[in-house]
Amino acid sequence: MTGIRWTFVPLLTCAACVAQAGWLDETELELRFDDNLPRGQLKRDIKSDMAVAVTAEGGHGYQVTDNGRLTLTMTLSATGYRQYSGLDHVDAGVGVAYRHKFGLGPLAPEARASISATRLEYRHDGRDGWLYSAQLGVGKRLTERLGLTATYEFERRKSDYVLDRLLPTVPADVFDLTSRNFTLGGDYTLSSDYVLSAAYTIRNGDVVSTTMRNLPIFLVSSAIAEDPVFGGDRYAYKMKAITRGASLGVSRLINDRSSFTVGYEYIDSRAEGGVDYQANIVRAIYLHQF
Amino acid sequence: MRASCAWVALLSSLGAGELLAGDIQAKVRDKTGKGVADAVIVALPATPMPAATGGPVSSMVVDQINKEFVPYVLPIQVGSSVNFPNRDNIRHHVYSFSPAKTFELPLYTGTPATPVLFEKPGVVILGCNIHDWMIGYIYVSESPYFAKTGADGKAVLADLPQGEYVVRAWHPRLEGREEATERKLTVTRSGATESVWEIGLLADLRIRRAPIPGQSGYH
Repeated sequence: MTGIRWTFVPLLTCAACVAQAGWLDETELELRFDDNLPRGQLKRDIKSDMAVAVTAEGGHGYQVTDNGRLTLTMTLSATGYRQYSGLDHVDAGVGVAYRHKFGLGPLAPEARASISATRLEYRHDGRDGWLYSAQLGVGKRLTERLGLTATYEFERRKSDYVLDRLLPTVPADVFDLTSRNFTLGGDYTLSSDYVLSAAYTIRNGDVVSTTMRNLPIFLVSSAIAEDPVFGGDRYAYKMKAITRGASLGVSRLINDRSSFTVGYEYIDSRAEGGVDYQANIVRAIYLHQF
Repeated sequence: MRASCAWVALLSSLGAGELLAGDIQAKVRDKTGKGVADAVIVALPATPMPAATGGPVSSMVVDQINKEFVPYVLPIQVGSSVNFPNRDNIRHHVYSFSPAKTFELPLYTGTPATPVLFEKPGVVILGCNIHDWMIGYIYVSESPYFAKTGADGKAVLADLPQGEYVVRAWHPRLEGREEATERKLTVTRSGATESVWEIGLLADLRIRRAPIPGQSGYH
């Protein structure tokens, strides 16, 4: 963890600068358990691990019209894994979002468009790269207690390096991923102090998993490369898949500035050639807004 | 003789009732016995008052400080005007849909040039179209006799002319109708009339300022 500790230093220094500038907006501390980190299909490939992530977000909002708001944000985050330290990473992203409210009051529907670019720096260099995202969303609060959102996202991840090919005829760009995601989400105020949130996502696009040498999987993969993060003789493979995810979270509102959330997410991915995987993720998140 | 004439003139000029005034000491508590802040106590004279004439009764202020309305509850008398200074370094967009007063102050900084006049009694709910969690209340009273409870749930309606009053309590989260809290009280010139209200409070389910993961929470 020495390396990741050093990467925290510039991150936190930068976050402090942002705070001094008076526009640090949110910080988040997340503890996450993932029971299938390599997104493996076979029992021998499935590995679980715990991660801790710290995120700081700052930015500035411009109310460009009575109903239109343009927001520029900068996000810095660092994630460290307990066991698979090759996945430790530091991310730095910038984003632009425009929100338009169709009317007056909290129940007025709104539309949102955003784009972002995030730099990904992993301890395992093969995963370094950029993540680009474009989102279109609509939201409507039906009552003060219940709000609903629908979001379409186009996501593209581009890695810095072309890894060595395992087979001359099979590409090795396993971390160049493109996907289209559609998410329906909602939040419901349970009581003065508790908010329930839920989301359902359908993701259509590339997935990357890691396995030991496995010919049936390799035959239906669009890219294969060595992946030492999960040990020797491990290979990352890419394929097209439909991934469904359902999440549920309960947030305890500590005060007007912070909340504590416990969440659960189930992921079910079905790829070409009958290659499927499932994962369960449990999260505990402390969020503080300045 | 000259002195007593002067007293008569003074009494006439002030109004005899003003000198024969008493207080209502009110306390509002919830079902657990805890004092309720921001409740409004209103005393309506049993004998209807003559209608007010002339200009605004008073000019009041509801500030916007750190993306909140301050005060959270402001009681005023019908005919009063309220200004809405924005003390933040960002713009706010204040509005109300309430039947007692519908108005809108589109995006602004500083203090609006013209205060808002409240001509009808009732509760006016304030919001900001930029910050959905911002909410405030203006209680427009038809009576000049009202007070707001402090953190201890206590309020004093001072210097009321002696006589019979219908007194009621209101709170933003009041369970049930305001009229259900009505009671008759007699104000005499000897001491204060004390009264305690025990009210039920609805759960506070308004839109929250606290950030929730996954929401576009940048404010």
